[in-house]
Amino acid sequence: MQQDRTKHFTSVDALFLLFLLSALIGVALIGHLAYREGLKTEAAKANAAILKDWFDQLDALSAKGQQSQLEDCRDDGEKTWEGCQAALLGEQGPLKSVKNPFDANQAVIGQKCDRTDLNTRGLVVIEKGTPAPPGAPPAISFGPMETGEKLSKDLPLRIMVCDKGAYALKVAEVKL
Amino acid sequence: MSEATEGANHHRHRAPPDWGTVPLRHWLYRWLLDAETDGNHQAAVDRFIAFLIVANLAALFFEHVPAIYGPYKDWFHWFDIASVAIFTVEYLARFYLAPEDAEFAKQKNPRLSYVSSPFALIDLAAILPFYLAAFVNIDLRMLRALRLLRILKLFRVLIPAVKEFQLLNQGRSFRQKVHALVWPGEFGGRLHDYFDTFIMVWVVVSVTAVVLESVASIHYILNLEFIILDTIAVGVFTLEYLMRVYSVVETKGFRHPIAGRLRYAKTGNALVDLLAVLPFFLEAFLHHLFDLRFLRVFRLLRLLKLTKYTGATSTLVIVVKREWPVMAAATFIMLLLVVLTASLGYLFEHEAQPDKFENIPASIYWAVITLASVGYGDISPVTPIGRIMTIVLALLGIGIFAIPAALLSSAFSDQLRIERETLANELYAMMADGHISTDEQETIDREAKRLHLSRDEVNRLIEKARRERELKDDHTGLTITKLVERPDIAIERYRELVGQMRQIALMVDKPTMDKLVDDPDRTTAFERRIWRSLRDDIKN
Repeated sequence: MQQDRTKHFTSVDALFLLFLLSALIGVALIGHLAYREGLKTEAAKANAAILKDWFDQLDALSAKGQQSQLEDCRDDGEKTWEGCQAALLGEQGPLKSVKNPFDANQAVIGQKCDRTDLNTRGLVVIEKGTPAPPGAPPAISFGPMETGEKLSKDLPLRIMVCDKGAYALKVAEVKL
Repeated sequence: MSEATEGANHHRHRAPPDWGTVPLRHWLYRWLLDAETDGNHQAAVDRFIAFLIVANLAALFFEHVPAIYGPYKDWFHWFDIASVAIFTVEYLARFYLAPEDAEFAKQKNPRLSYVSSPFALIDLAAILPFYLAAFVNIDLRMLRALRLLRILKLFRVLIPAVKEFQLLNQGRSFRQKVHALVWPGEFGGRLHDYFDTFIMVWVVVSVTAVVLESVASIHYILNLEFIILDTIAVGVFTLEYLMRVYSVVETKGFRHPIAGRLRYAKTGNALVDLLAVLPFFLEAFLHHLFDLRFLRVFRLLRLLKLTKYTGATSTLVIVVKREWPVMAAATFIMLLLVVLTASLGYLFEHEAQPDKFENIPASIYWAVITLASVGYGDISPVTPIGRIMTIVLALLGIGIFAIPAALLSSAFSDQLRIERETLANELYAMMADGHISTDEQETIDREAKRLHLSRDEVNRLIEKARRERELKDDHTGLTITKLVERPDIAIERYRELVGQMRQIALMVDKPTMDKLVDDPDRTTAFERRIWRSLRDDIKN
C-alpha cells in the first residue's frame, strides 16, 4: 500500500477511485431499494386513500339522507364489520381491484399492524373509536375493529396503513 | 511557503476608491465585482448569489411536492420572479461593467466579449427561459426543468477556486491533492473552504430532514423525498469519509499506510463520520433480522460532524480534561448525596407509599429529580419526617449540583482567556518586524474565528501588541525601577541619554547656554560640572 511519491497518479490511486465509485454505486443501489419499498408504502397509502374517499362520499350521502350503495355497509345497527369488509372488497366495492403492494397474495384489509409480522405490511387497517369519559384525554381512543362489530351511525373510524416496517401510519379519521 | 502558494496568494490588495474620486462605472466595478480589491462587497455579492442559487434549487425540489406547492403556489411564483429579477440585475451589471474587467478590457469590444464568454452564457441560460415563456408557449414542466440551469451559475464561484487549487497543487500527487481538498492546510485554498461549506450544508439539510421525519404529518407527505435526501446525504458523507481515510496518511502522525489509517479511524471525528453513515447500511442489510428503526435516531449524530469546523468543542474537551480531578470529586459527592437521599427517602416513605418508594434503586429517580431542583412532582414525600428531610436535602442539592456547572463555566472562560492571551503573544511575536504579512493575517483570521473574536477585538489585540512592541523598542517608556532591574537595557538607556546630551552640547548656542548654566538659581554644582565636561569633550 506504500505509494510511490514520484508518480502523480498511481495504481493505488486508481484502486481508491474504483473503491470510491463502488461505494457510491452501493449507496445508490441501497437508496434505490429503499425508494422502491417507499413506493410500495405510497401504493398502500393510495389504497387507504381510496377507502377514505369512499367514506367521505358516504358522509355526503348521509347528509342528503341517503344510504350507502353497499347494502352490507349500511349503519342500521344490524350489519357487521365482517360483511362490510367483504362488500368493500367485492365487485361493487371501492377496493375491488386493489392489491396489497408488498405481497399481492396477502390481504388488503387487516385488523392491525404488527411489527413482528412482516406479512402485515401494506395492510389497510380500520380502527373504531370509543369516546372516552368526559374530561379524560384523549377524547376518542381507537382500537382494533372486531369482525363481529355492529355498524352504527356516526361510528368514528380511523384509517391506518402498515408501512414497509409494518408500522402503522395514520391516513385519516372518518365517520361511518 | 511554496512558490505556487505565493503565486496563488498574490493579490494586488487595492483599497476600494472613495465616492467621487473615480468615474461611476469604475467605482461600481471596484466596489461590487473586483476580486482584487480588498474590503469591497465582491465576496458578499458572490455569497448572496450562491445562496440564491441554492434556494432556487430547494424551491424547485419542493415545487414537485403537491402538498407543499399547492397551498404556497403564489409564494413560489413570486420567489421565482424575485430570483430572476436579481439574476437579471446581476447580468446587466456585469454587462455594463465589462469594460472595467481586466479580462475583457483589452478586447476590441469588451461588452461583446463578455456576452460571448462562458460565464455570461451560463448567466443568460439561467434567466432566458423565464423571459422566453412570456413570448413563446413553453410547457411549464419544461420551464421548471430549464430552471435547473441556474445551478450552472455556481461555476462562476467554482471555476476560479478550481484554478487556484490546481495552481497551489502543481506537481503534487493525486493523494496529496485529495488531502488538500478535505483537510485544512496551505494547499487547499478556496476550494477546500467550499468543500467544507458543502459538507456543512448537507449536515444541516440531513439533520433537518431527520427532525422533520419525526413529524408524522410531514413524513406522510414527504416519505419518498426523505428517502432520496437521505441517500444523497449518505453518498456525500461516505465520499467524504473515504477521502479522509485515504488521504490521512499525508498528515503528520498518520504516515503509515495501514497503522496510520487505523489510528485515524479510531479518532473521535472519524468515528462520528462513520456513525453518520452506518445506520443507512445496517438498516439496509440487517432489517430482515432485527427491527433497526431505532438506528435512525443515530442519524442525528451527523450534527456532531459540525464540531470539526468549530473550536468550541475542542476547548470544552480541554476544559473537561483539565478540570477532571475536581469534577470527579464533585461527581463523587453528588453520587454520595443521591444514594443518601434515596436511602432516607426509602426509609421514611416506604411504609406510607410502598408503590412509589418501592426500594432504594426506585427511590433514586425521586432523589435525582429532587436534588437537581427539577421537581416533576409525580413522586413526593407525604410523611412529616420525609418532608423535613426533603427540605434539607433539596437545599443541599442546589449547592452540590451547581458545583460541576460552576466549575465548567469558570474553567471554560479561563481557557478562552488563556487562548486569547496565547493569540496576543503570537501577535506580539508577529509585530517583531513591524508589520503583519499575508500569511500572518491568515493565521490571525483563523485564530480569531476559532476564538469567536470580532474584528474590533482582533484590532484591539493587534494595537496592544504594537504598543507593547514599541514600548520594548523604546526604553524611555520604562520606569527607573524597571530599568535598574535590567542592566542590559539600563546601559542602552544611559548611552542614549549621554548621546542626547552631547547632541544638545553640539547644537545649542553655547554662550547663552553657558550663561544659563552658570546661574546658581537654575543649576546645581553637579549639573554645572557635567556641562563643562561635555563642552570640554566636544572641544577635544
